[in-house]
Amino acid sequence: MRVTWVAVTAGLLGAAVGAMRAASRLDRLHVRTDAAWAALDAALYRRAVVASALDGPSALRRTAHAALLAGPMAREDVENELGRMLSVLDRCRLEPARANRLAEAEQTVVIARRVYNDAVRDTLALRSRRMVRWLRLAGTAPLPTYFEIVEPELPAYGLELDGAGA
Amino acid sequence: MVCPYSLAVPGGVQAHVLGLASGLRSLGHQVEVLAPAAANDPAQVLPEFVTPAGRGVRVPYNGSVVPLIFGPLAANRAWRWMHDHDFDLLHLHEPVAPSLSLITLALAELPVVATFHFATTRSRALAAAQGLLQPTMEKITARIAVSPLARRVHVEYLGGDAVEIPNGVDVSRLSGARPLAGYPRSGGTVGFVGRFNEPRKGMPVLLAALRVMIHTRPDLRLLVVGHGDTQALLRAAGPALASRIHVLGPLSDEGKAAVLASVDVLCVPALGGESFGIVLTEAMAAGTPVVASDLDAFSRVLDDGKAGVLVPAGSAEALAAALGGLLDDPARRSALAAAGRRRVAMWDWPVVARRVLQVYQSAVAADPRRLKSGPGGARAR
Repeated sequence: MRVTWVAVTAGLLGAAVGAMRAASRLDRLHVRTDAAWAALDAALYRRAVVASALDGPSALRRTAHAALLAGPMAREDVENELGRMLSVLDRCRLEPARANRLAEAEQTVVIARRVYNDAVRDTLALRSRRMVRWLRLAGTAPLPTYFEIVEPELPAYGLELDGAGA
Repeated sequence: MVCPYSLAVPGGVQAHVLGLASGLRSLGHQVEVLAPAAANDPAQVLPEFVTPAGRGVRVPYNGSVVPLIFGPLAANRAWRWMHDHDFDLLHLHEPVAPSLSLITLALAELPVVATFHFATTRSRALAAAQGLLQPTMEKITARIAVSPLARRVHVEYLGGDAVEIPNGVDVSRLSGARPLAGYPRSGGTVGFVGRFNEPRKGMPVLLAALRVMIHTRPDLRLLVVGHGDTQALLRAAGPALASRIHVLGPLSDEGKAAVLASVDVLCVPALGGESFGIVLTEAMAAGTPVVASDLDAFSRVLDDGKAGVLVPAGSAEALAAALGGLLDDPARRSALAAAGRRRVAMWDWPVVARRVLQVYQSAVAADPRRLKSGPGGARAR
């Protein structure tokens, strides 16, 4: 009888420790996702600012302005449209300094999106665990969602990155 | 920056860590490296920016024997190193290897960039360890893969995406190397660099090509650099060819650079399983024309044959024709050397380091500590 109680207590204690560890992991992941979103947001914003300052077609400038103002719901669509317009833009006609700034801003978007989606992936993996769902360890934090945009075609090698130093 | 493998043993990851650290320092950044190495080893002079974390233990891992380090002593050293330096960012190499990088990651409280080097697809152990490692791996902010293959393995086995940034090469060191005494010589010298007993590296194809070529070239010579069983190689070459093969064994970076400067052509006849081909970039940096098999990775590096000669993988006849053609044509050799030098500029460490810096900036931008203290720091909860 005594042995059973000891076993049950040990089991409960183990479960409690596990739940606490999962909760702290989850908290760290939520913070990481929020921070990665802030970085991606800033990267997208910078790309839109650079694009809106280009002397390209007026539709491009309009889309860039729309991207700067877009709310969270419309963000993916507008950024996608901006990305599509930038992909057909003739870079040779731009000033070299501006073209460089644009390439750099686009590259930063690519990296920031991977960083953010990685954070989302890790968070979703943990939140899908049964213990996390049953004990509602995530509290009221909303479920993060991937940011899906088409990645611009960047040259894999030999990207001109002058002036990219910190 | 943390290197998991001991600096006492030459290796791709170790060379990558030291090259990248030097490249970043040449751009004016402050970089410190923590790596397994003996503290006061007279046989090995460490660069001033390296902090030794103790001697490595040789452990079979991932198909080869690698020097790893673990245990409380290593953890203590890693912890002290992080506290002695107030880092903005931690860059770990090969964090899945059970070594210093993993220990440091477990202790880290700052943005972490991780570079994945390996491109092996038989990673059942890795898949099994994934559940245990996951809580630690969650601390990585941004990931880098050194090749498309490494990135794919990473995506399939570990989950998560990575930014692809290739290996760098030390162009200034290689282009300034002096040839060995007595070289370059007349009669034609072909070079081979790599583990020559591994069939995958294509040595049998090269031997078959040379066997044909020695009929018309009595003074042809093959210089071989790398690990392997010399006797087995000479037996495989046969009596007619064996006397023309000089096996120099595994050499230091300086020795390898000298060999590249000495040969007329470097031959890379690998049959497959190559993810990048660092030796191609080294040869291009040294100004040595390259004849390589037409693997995807190689044709990418050689710009589809514009910066070197590509031959069908496994074809001894095609290899013999390409090598013979180049040995007979000094003008073409110098044209290829010039094209190679132009091509290799994009893998020079300072250039590659700039791309790594962009990932660093993104990782620092995604640092949670900025959220709490920075302007507009309202956490979107």
